[in-house]
Amino acid sequence: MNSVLGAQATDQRRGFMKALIGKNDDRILGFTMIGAEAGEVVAAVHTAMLAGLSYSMLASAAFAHPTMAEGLSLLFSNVPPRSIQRTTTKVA
Amino acid sequence: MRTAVVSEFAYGKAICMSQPERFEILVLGSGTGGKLVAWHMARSGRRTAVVERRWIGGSCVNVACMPSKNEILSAKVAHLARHAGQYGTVTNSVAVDMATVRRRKREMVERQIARHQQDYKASGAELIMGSGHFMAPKTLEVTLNDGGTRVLVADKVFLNVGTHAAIPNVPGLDAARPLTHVDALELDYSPPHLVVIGGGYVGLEMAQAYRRFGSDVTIIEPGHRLMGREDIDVSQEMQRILSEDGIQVLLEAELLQVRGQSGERVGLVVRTASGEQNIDGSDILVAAGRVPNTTGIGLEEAGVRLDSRGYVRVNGRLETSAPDVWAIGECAGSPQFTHISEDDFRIIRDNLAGGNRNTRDRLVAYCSSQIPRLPT
Repeated sequence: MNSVLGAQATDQRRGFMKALIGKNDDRILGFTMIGAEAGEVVAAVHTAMLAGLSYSMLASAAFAHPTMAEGLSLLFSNVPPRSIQRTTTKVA
Repeated sequence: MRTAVVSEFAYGKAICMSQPERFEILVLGSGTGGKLVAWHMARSGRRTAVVERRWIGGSCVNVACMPSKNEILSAKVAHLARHAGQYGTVTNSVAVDMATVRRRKREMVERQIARHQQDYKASGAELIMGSGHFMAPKTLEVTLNDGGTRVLVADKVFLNVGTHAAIPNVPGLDAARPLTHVDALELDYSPPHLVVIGGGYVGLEMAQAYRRFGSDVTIIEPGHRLMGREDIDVSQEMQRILSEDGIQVLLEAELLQVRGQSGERVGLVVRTASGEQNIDGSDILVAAGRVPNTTGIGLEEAGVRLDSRGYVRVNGRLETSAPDVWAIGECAGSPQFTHISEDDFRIIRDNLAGGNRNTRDRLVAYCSSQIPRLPT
């Protein structure tokens, strides 16, 4: 979680978040996090998955700062362009 | 269905209570999903009984999720206090009083049970404390904890009997009287050296908590990584975190033999890649999986079939092989989380109201509570 500002701010930098994105669409298929407040962040992604939101909506969401959840916009901003065909993304 | 011919004067109540009593709804086991079915049905005006042998509200409230989170917060406070200086708070030496940790947890559990009892009263569902055994389909004989028996016959039956900790079949382990999560959450001391058998969620949570309470901790995991159901990078990160915390982790370690008594002194022999190894400890915690509580309760007589691992066989609507009998939560093989048991309730509730919901369609989220660590 070293690259997430909320984690840096409170110096709780251990762990990571990662997500699995649909190969042929932009849906979020799975999400894992190790880190402070992980259970709360999982609920935010859970909600997005239930709503069928595309990952790009989270990438461009202005999550409140400084929080652990703001790492989601960084995480989903790191999804490579579809032409590269890699469907997992991860930030430490 | 009288069980004995006895003096009606002395035993009148017992005789009277062995007459079959009719209910519309009968729930065996008062854990999350079952209690929610009962309260929902009773509030809808149905005559409802819940049979519970010990834990009002089930494992979550009494011996699992909630008490563990309670004590894990105590462990976090101990950890923060010990390292308070890094945050700019100056303390004298820090000591942990496990009796207070336990008292705080017990008070939380007592508050929960009081709330449950209020909810039973408000809903109209009857809570019967005793052990149930099916004599025939939808016919349950209850041996009451306070003595006597009752026979309950119901239109609809919900099995919500849960699971308990498995004790691996290793020479000397059972005789060593190892702790399970139930006992570990009741300790009023921190073991000098706690040996945790099993590197899954329960083992890791308790290992880290007791490390924070001041114990030396060793985890013995037979698999080649911790949290075997997670992705490899998750296992690796968790192992790194635990190792930084000073917890010994032995992977691919087969437990061969145990000597001594947990709570006093124990010796464990394990086989690892580097040969046999002896571990001397003070206490053993077994966190090596779960066994469904489906034996010895007459499920055969009830017409309820089990799968090869002893879990109740259900379809995606949580219907069992017996008509008008459902299974809920862990005993139905559902993922072992309280919020999934609650979701099992929702599926059954909605289907009974004419819906068509299926366990396949749900999104399962979960978390394990390790303690965020300090700056490194």
